[in-house]
Amino acid sequence: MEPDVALKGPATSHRKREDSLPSEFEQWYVEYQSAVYRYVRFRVATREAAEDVTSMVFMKALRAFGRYDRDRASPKTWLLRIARNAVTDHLRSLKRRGSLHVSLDRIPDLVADIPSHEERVIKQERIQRLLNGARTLRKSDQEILSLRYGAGLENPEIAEQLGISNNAVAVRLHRALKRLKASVEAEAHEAIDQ
Amino acid sequence: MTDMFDISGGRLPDDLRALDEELSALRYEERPSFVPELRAELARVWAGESIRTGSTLRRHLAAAALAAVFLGSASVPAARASFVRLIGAFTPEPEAAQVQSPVQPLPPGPEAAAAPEADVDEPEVIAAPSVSVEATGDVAAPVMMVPSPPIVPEMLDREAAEAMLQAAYPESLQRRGIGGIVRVRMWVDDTGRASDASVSESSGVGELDRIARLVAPSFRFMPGLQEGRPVGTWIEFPVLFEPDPERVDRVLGPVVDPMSLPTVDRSEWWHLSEPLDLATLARSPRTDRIEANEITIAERGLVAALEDPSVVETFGPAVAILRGVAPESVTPTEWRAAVGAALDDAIARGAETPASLLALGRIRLRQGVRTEARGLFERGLQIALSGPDATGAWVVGELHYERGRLVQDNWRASTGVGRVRSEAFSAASCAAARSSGGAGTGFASVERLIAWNYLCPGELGDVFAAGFEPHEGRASADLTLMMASYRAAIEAYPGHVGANTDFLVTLAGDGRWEDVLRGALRFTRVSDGHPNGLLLAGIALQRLERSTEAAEHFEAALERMDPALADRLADVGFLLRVEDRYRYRSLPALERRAWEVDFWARKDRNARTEVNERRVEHLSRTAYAHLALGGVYGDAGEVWVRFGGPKHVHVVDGGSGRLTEFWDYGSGPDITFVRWASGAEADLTPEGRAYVDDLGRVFSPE
Repeated sequence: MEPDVALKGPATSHRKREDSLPSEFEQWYVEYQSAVYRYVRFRVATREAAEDVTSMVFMKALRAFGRYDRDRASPKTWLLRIARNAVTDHLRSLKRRGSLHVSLDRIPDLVADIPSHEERVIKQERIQRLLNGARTLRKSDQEILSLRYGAGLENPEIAEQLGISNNAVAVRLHRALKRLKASVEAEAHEAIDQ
Repeated sequence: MTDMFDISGGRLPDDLRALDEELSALRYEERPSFVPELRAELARVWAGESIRTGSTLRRHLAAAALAAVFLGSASVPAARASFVRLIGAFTPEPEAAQVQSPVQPLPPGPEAAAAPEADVDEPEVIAAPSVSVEATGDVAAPVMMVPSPPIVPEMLDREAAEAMLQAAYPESLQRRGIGGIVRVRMWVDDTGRASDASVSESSGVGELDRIARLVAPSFRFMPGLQEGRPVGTWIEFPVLFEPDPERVDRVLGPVVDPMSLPTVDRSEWWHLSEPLDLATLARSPRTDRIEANEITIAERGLVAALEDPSVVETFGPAVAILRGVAPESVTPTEWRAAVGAALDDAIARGAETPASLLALGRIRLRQGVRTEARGLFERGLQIALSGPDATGAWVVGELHYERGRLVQDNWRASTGVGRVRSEAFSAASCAAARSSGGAGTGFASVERLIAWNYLCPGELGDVFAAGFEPHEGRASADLTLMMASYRAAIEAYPGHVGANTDFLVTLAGDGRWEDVLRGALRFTRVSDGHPNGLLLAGIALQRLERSTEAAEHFEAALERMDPALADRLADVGFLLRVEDRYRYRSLPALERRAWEVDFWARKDRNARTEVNERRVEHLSRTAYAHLALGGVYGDAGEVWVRFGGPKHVHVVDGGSGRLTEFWDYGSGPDITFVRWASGAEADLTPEGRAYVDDLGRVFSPE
């Protein structure tokens, strides 16, 4: 989706104006907002929560913008790092409030290229099972799956994000998928038993 | 997507490859307005960072200027009537009196600890017996008990804080008349710096919650004191967002009680207090005639948008395009694709009109693209109401109505919906229901609730009372927007059948019978006797115990509607034994009518009155089932006609977009239904069907 924002000024200007964002930050927003949102959305239960956490990510990034060091990380890596922390905080706050297990039932914003309404409904049930399954995995599995399938990162980007090698990323993804498959199958069996 | 796994010569096995492809195909559809909204919010905060370095006066001026910039006003208002206020007092949280850092997970929070509420009307500091404190400069200090009450943090510049909130209050919400109260909880450390803000009580509007939470940490405080020493403290306070009525956009609806009636007074014969003269009321509603005039204007708007006017000749008639419904002679899917492309082209050329956006939005709805459809309707409204008044009342009314229906779907999916906490079962027992399904999630599964309902109904009532937890949703905001949309549709086009009907049915669901009656009389007048208006008036009159008038309105409605529908509303089959029902419905129409006369004569409770109250009640039920429950012959309609409305309904989120409704009639098991979240029609669950059929066998309907 094409964000409805305009780039303003040169990419190097950090001067504050009352009617705009720093131009470089604005560029990041245009380029990476979607990746951040999708990463977050993959890990939290509802669209509303995803919007909240995404907002928090960019607010934090904006406040820390002056301290950003491009030698240490690319903007995308930096933003996703903030997003990972924000998601952790969010999940922790849910846990504090005793509602860690948030329903994944309402997923109208999840779409796939399915032509008919009926197929879409079936697909959504399958998606729900997948996401429920993902929720039962260990945190590191959830993390890597979210980076891959939520933020849409390639292996080298995931490696940079997690500070591990490309090979380690592939191995961990493989294992996470395997555990996800087992979890989804177990849930399906449980449903049949019930 | 398999190359990523191609390491050390290994390949992803087929089963995992399929899973990988499935996950890769997933994508989330972002709410389109979220990206610009967040961008605007960021800009406001960025500007606010600059503002806070200036003087208080400059802050206020800048806040107003910023508001003007972001709100798109032509000039900076001298004083904005729209209102953001910190209300009540800052109340320290009653935590365990321990030294804690705000970044550490806390023991039971305010939700569990029954925090004292600040009185909104009469702000008052409520002394808490103890507070969670942070030892100055030493997060890791040992746990200590705090014996005396603390002095709570004091806000240094409340006006500046309010100005910041006010500047962040989105124009989009104000224009839609959306406000609310958010309770914010946050940590104020021993230097007065605020952090870790969270929403302890939602306003029901996610954006307001988010704004309050994001802006609150910018407030400045004098730290709380404990025995003369500054300490970190959790505080909680309410923030009121109240839109200025004058800022509300006509496109998006006025700031009013969502249940208040539309203010339509353009007709000289608009006398609300006078009853209808049914004898002189037209035999056929004139709504169609009005639409024909308006549709001519709409057609012009449609043709004006199209580069090639022959599109209308090829795919028309225009009225079909305006309604988004393919003519019978063509394949609907192809028709929608072709017409949609032509209308899309108008947008690409910047030639769209409200009529073309209405048509395209309806096509998109049928193609399942609801978010885009809503955007198209709202864009159509913006054009219609910002330009010269050439769009026509019908198109404006339809645009409002379509938007309202989309919001209504969201509202249906969230209103009254919740889950039941598993621990609520611990205080009750039901030996026959051993299932503990769903215990792992902390919430009871629907299967468990249904099992308890039919095995131990009394105990289930206790479980609902103790453990039903409503979802934090947007139901109240959606209700406001939905009713504002319908009201705007009616104000634009007073005879709008769908908007009038849905608006009044919602009022009826809330039991506002006087308002339903007034609104129904208006609707009936302006449409020269539309049956829906007469039915709604009849329902309201029956509920107001004015049975004679109700009977007259029902009869007038039955005379004016399609005979097949009238037949369904008069049908008494559900009041008969199953074996008699079939025989009754097999009778020829005239014999059925005669049989019904006899049937009702036997059931007249009070022969001295002019009307048969029991029959009036029956018509009231069938009319409501027809208007509100998706039809008389559906499962919900059947139950409503046989047993009337339930005393209470619990709606439980069962997953996969399905909701389970428990209709509580006060004794015996609830009757259970399942429905799609956004739909109006509910089907009995298998257990519900068995129970309802059993009731028919055990108790004679006669």
